Amino acid sequence: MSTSPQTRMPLVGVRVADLGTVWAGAYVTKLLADMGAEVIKVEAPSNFDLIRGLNIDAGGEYYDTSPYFNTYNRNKHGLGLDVGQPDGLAVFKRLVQVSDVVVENFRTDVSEKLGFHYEALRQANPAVIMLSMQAYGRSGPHRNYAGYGPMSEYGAGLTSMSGYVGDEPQKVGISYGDPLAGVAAAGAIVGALLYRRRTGKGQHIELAQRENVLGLIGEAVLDWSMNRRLRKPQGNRHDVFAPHGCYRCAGDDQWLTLAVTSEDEWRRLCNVMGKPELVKDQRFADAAARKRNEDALDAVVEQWTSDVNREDAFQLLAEARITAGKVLDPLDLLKDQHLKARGFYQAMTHPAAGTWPMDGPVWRMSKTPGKFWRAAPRFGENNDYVLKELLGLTDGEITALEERQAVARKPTTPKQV
Amino acid sequence: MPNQSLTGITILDLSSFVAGPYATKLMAMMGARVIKIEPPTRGDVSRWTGPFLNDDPHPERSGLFAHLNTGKQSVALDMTKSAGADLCRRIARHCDAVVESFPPGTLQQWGLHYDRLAEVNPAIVVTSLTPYGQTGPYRSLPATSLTIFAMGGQMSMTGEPDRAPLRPYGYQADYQLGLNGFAATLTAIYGAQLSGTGQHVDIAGMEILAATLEGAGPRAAYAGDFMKRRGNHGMALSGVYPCKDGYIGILAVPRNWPAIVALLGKPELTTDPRFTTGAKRRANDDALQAIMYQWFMDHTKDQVFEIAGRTKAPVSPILTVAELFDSPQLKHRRFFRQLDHPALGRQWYPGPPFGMSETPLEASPAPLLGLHTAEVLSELAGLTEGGLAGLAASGVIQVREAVA
Repeated sequence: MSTSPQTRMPLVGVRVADLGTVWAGAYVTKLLADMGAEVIKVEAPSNFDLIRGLNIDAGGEYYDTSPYFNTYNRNKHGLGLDVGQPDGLAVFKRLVQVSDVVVENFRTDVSEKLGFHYEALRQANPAVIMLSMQAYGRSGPHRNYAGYGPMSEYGAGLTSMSGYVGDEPQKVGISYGDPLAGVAAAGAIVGALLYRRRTGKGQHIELAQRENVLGLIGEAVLDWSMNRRLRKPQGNRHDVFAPHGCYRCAGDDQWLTLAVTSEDEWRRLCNVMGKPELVKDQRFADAAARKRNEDALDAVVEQWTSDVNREDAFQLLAEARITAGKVLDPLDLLKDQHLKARGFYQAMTHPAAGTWPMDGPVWRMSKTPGKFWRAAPRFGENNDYVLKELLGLTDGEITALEERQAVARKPTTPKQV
Repeated sequence: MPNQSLTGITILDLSSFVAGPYATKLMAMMGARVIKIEPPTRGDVSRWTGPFLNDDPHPERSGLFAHLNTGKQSVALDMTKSAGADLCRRIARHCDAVVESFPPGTLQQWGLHYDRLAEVNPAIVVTSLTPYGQTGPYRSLPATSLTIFAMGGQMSMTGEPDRAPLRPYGYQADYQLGLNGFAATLTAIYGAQLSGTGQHVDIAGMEILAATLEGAGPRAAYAGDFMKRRGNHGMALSGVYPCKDGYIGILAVPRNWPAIVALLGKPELTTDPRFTTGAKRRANDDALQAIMYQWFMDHTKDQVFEIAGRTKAPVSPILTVAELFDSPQLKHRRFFRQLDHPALGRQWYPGPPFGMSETPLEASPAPLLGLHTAEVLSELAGLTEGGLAGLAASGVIQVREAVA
């Protein structure tokens, strides 16, 4: 049995020059950095990543204190460099020469104006892997349209099928397309690394965020193709099974979901609710009957849930092996016993923002668990490491770049967004 | 053989339904050989889940199965029998990774867990995709996409504040888990190629969702508060508006305000004292919503999108699946692909989620149940025709001739 300990995280030795911004850009390189990649996040002094300005209380060097930024950019290095200036772009190309991967998610016209064509980067580094991640892709009539994560949901069919029964479409509460673009892109980058390992060749990966979301409704595409059916919002209900929904519990905004998918589970639920007589109720005699009488059924279930504490109900349902889930909010999650037992939240200390519990790496690898190995970079925090150690620039060259504001250790216009 | 990014990689896919199959579907599109193990006769449970061709339930006519299993080889094999588990171990010698989605502890019963497989193949990666992960008090609880969407926190943020929390269409929690399984498995394979040693990868749907609560998760952890779900009407610059012929959606941050003003064609808003800063716009949200409602109701989806494209406003029409097929953008990019399947005929499928310039992604139709049983077991488990016949007779495997 050969199981010599694998101590190197899988992506140690992979360097990423990261021009990604907002959530999707941050998420792809967060995943890579959690697995050991050296990510160098490049931000312009006049235009830092906008999530540095979200979810914070204003004041001072507020751009270093955003929990939103600091969570999704942990384990990365920070370089204050303006790639919109010719001098800054020249420095960036030197960084590309010593990097394995370049990540960008500028709007296509912005990216092209800045000169981020794969061919141009390949001249700097023939084996480079470049990821471009736009809302609608880098080709086609909508290539220059602006879009954040929700646009990839609105424009992918998902929103049209989501919402309360008989009501207008609803978006997912998060910018749904963003993290999912990040995950798919991380997989694509590692696929390209595997190919490069075999052949020595780099390549250009192009991910249109809307197309990535479309894969997650593929069965609805097939339904249209096969049956010309268009699905309408059906709330939390299921096509076949009932009860299947979200029910109010005692207390303020406390909810529980239930998904009953067998006769046996239904019988157990009747007992848990203290209403064994329901098993004989003709309205609920089998799945088809329960589906037909779903409004009455939901009223019966909610009559029970609304009198019980959510935790107590969940415990009873778990003991009876009935499929249920609490609607946990972000504060509930921090206290959740399961996540605690798994050590999901770990304390992170950031020199400008303090200490708080941060969700840990989500790909739990048995021999090379991901970890926090550095706090998110303050703006321009690692200029010296990148410019001197990696690129060999002299102090004089750096000073000259700083005078032209191509390089900076502080934002030049720390505007409140 | 086309040279794709995962050419030469072999995956043993023991997973079922949505999450694991989506992970391995993407690997197959990238050129991996994916060997899908299915129980004889019944096959993957998704074969019995709609939509079905002509709404006629049949295990070879599920659109869900057809979508999730493009490009794979189907081996009908009963892992619960010791002879079946032994065949899986023999196949695993040739594999880079195993993907599975059984309740924790199940693979141990069959001797197919990581430690056992690593004895014969030290470089193997085993990825487990489950609702709650391999450890912790919830690990054995039953779950579905709905209940995981709730337990992972995303549901608390979705829907109207005065109504029940809402989940989106379909199997979104499962798909999120699947995408992570895809990327994590490739990452572990890359590490194993460098070190010679594989490992077990434990991914929990609940954690995947809990790690992606946008700004709300970090805000709650850092400051102890968060913004309650706001639905379509809680904030002018986020959510869905009715327009002349349907709905449009918007999500704008403060730096997009000039683009929103340009979209609405109302330059006077720039100097309107109610709207000059983000804080003022929030304070006067009702007034802003009223202006926007009126403007959207005066325009069609196409008009809104065309103006949004010119003004760089982050706005999109809410498109139905039928409308996606008319999208000039998706047409230009030839996104939808047709595949010919022996039982489903020629149907449209979503194309790959990303493009790779040197190693394009490709798809072939999902396999009929057991179509590759004989081929895979002869090649990778060394079975002869007699051996195959014996195992088929004892119900360990199901061999099927290519049928139309």
